[in-house]
Amino acid sequence: MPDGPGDGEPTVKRFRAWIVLAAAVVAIPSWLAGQEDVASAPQTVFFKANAHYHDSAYDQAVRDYELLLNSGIDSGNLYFNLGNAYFKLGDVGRAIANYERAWREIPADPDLAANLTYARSLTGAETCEVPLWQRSAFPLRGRMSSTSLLWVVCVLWTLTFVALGVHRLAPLQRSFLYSACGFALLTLIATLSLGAQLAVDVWPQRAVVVGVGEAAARFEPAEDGTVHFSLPEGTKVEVTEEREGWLQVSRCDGRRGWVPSTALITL
Amino acid sequence: MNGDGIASRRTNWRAVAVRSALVARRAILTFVLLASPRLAAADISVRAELNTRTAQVGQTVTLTIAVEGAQNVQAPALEGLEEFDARYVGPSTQVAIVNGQMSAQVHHRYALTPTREGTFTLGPFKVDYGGQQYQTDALQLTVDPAAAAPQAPAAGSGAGGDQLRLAITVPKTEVYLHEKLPIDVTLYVGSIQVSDVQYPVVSAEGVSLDNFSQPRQFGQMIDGRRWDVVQFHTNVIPLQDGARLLGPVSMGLNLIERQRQGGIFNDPFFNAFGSRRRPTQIRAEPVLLNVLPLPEEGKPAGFSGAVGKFTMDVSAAPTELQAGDPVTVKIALQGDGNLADARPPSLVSTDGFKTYDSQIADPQGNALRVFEQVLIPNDESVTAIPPVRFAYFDAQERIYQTIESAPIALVVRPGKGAQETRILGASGEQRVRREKLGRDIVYIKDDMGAVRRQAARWYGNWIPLLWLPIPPLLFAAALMYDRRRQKLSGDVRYARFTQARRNARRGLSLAEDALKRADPGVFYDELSRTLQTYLSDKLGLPPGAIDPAAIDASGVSADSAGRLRDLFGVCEQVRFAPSSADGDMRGALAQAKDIIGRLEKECRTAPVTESQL
Repeated sequence: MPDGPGDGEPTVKRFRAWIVLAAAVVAIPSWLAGQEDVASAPQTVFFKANAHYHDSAYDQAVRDYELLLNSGIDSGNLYFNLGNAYFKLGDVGRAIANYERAWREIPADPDLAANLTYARSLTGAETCEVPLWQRSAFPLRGRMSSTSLLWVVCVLWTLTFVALGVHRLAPLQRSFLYSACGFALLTLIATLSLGAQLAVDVWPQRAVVVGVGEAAARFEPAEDGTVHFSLPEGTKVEVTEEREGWLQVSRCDGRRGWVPSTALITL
Repeated sequence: MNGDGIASRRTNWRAVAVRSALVARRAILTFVLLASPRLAAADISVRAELNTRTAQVGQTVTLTIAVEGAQNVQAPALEGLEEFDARYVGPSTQVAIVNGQMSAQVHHRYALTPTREGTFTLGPFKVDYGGQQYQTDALQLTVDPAAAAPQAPAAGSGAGGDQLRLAITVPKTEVYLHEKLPIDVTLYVGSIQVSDVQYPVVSAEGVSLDNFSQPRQFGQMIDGRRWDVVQFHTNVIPLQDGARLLGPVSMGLNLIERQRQGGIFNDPFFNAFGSRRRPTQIRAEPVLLNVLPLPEEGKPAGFSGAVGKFTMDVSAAPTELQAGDPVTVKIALQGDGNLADARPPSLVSTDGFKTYDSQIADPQGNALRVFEQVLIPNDESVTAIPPVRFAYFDAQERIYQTIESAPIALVVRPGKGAQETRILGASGEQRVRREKLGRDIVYIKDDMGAVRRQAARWYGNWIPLLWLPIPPLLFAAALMYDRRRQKLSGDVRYARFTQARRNARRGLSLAEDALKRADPGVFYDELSRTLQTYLSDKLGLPPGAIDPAAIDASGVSADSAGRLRDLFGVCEQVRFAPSSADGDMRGALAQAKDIIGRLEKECRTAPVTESQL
C-alpha cells in the first residue's frame, strides 16, 4: 500500500534527525581531535600557521596562531608571528598590540624592536620616552622578561650569601668579601629594575588603539563628548577606569580621555 | 694778594668770552637779516595739502598751503568752499641753513569742516607775493555721510556729564570662528578739556584681542555739536563659537576743571595754573557677537584653521644644485585674516626630498607672513619642487578655498655623496656606495621559543620566590656553627661542661660492660671515675677535687648531693673492701644514671670562669 500524505512527514523528520546525528558523530570527534592536536602538539599547529604565512594565506595563519593562544599557550615568538600576520593583513593596530605582548616575553629581541618601530612609524603612534634618571636607576628594565629578571635576582642573591659565608669561614680571604659586596650591589640593581618593570610595564593595565585612523579621546564617556585629543592607531595607553563600554585612558603626557572599548585591545 | 689777582684775571677772561659770544650771535643775526631780501628774490613754489582725502560730514580736515622760498607771505583767501565751514588756524614759518644755503618756508593752515556729503574739488588756491601771483594744484576730497551719534553716557555722574562719551563699534556682529574682526573704540569729547587719555581696556572672553594702534584724533560735527574725537583701532579674533560679549570697555583719563573764574587773571595762560585734573573712568556698553562655527561641509584635508582671504606666493632658491644640497622654499602668505595664527602650508608631496620643518621668516608680520622650508633632493632624479597647498575659509563667501602654487622646476646634478666615496683609513682604502634601503617588517620566527602556560606568569612560578629565603637561612646556620666552634676551641671549661654528659655516657657504657662480665672491681672503678669526671666537668672543678664538701658547695640539691655521697660510699666500700660484698651493681648503675639525669636538669648553665667574672 502506498504511504498516505500523513505518513510522509514523520519519515522526513526522522531522516533529518539521522543526518544531524551522523554529522554530530563525525564532527564532534574531529573537533575534539583538533583540540587535542593543539594541546598535545602545539609545535605542529605553529608550523602549519607558519606555512600559511609563507603561502601568503595570512588570515589562515592568524586563525591558527589565535588557536594556539586560545589553548592557553604563551610565547613571545607566537605573538611576534601573529603580529606579522596582522600587519600583512593591513591591521597595523592589532599588529602593534601583539608586538607589545611579545615585548613582555622577549624584550631584547632585535627583530621585534625593528617591527614595532616600523609599524609605529606607519601610524604615527608615539611612545613614552623613558626619563634619563629612570634609565640610569633601572638599567636592566626592558632588557629581559620579568621571569628572567627574577631568576637573575635569585642567582645574584644566592651568590651574595655564598660569598659572605665563605668569607666568614675563611676570614683571611678578603676577595670573598669584595665579591659579596659586588654581588649585593648587582642584586640591588636587578631588584630595582625588576620592581620598576613590574610597576610601570607589567602591572598597570595597558591597551593599544586599533581600527582605522585615529581614535578620539573625549572628556566624557559619550559620543557627543568634547574631543580632548586623538590617538593614532597603535598607540599604547594606560587604562585607568572602565565604564559601560568606555575606557578612560591615560596618555604619556598624563592627559586622560574616554575611548570606546571597541577601539582598544587590552594587553 | 696774588691769589686775589689771579681770580680777578680769571673773571676778566670770562667776561671777555661772554662778550665775544654775544658779538658772534649778533653777527649771525645781522647776516640773516641782510640775507632776507635775497630770499625774496629766490625761486618760490606753492603747494596745497590735505591731511586726509576722505572724511565724514562734520569731521574736520586740515588744509595746508605751503609757500617755499619766502617768509612774509600773507594768508591767501580761500574761494569756492561754500560746502565747508572754513577757519584759518594760523601760520608756521621755518628757516634753515644747510651748507651755507638758506631756505625759508611758511605754512598756512585752515580747518575745513564739510557740511554735506559728496566729492569736492578744492582749489586751485592763489597766493600773492612780491607783486606776483602763484597758484597751487587742485585737491580732491570725498565726504561720506556722518556717523550716528554715540549714545554711551560717561561713567559716573558729574564726570563730564553728556560732554564725554565712549563707544565701541564693530562692522558686523555675526562672525565666524577665527575670523578677524576690526573694532573701533571712540572717545567723544564735547566742550570740556581732558588730558592723559589712556588706552581702553576691553573685557572679553573667548576672543583674542590685538594691541591697540596709535589713536587717531580729529574733530567731528554730530547733531550740530562739535566733538573732539579720539579713535582707537584694533582687531579681535573669536576663539570660541556661540554668543560672545565684546566689552564692556573702560577708559581712564583726567578731566581738567577750572578752579578760578574772572578777575584780572581771566586769561587762558593764567587759567592753566588755576585748573586741576580729576581722574575719571568712563565706560562703553558691550557688543554682543554671534560667533558661528566653521562648517564641516567641504572642509579640505589640509585645513589648519586659517580664516580670511589670502594669496600665496612661492619661490625657491637655488633652482640649480647638486643632490644633497639644500634648497630653500619661501612661502609668502598675504591677505586679511588671522595670519598670526596661520600654520605653514604644506607641500603636496615630499617624495625624493629630505624635508625640514618650516620656519617663520617674519614673526612680526600681520598682513604678510613668510615661511621658509629647507628641502634636500635625495638624488638627481628630482626635477621639480611639488606644489604648495594652502586651505582657508573665506568668511565673506562662506566657503573653503584651497590655493595651490605651481611646481618649481629644479635642475639637480649628481651629488658628490651619490658617487663612490673613498674613505682613507688605517687598514687601507674602502669604497662605500650610498644605497637606498627598503623598509618592511622582519620575517616570522621559525620556532615558538620559550613556551609556557598563560597562567604561569612569573608570580605563578613559586620556585624562585621560595628559594629567596634559603640563602640567608643557610648563612645564619653557618654563623651559628662557626660561633659554637670558636667557643668550644677557646673556652675549656665550656667545652668540658658541654661534653660532660657524652663522656659520662661513654664511662657508664664501660661500667655496663664490666657488669656483664660480672667484674665488680672494674665496674665500681669505672663507675666512680665516671661520676668524678662528670662532676668535675659539670661543676668546673679539677678531677681530684671531688669530695663531699665540694659537692655540697657546688649548688646541687641536697637530695642529689645525698644520693651522690651514698653512691660514692658504695663505690669506696667495694673498691677498698671487696670481700664485704659485690654490692648491687645494677642498682648502682641505675642510681648513677638517675643522678646524672638529675644533675643535667639542675646544672643547665656552664660554670662562670674567673676570667668571665
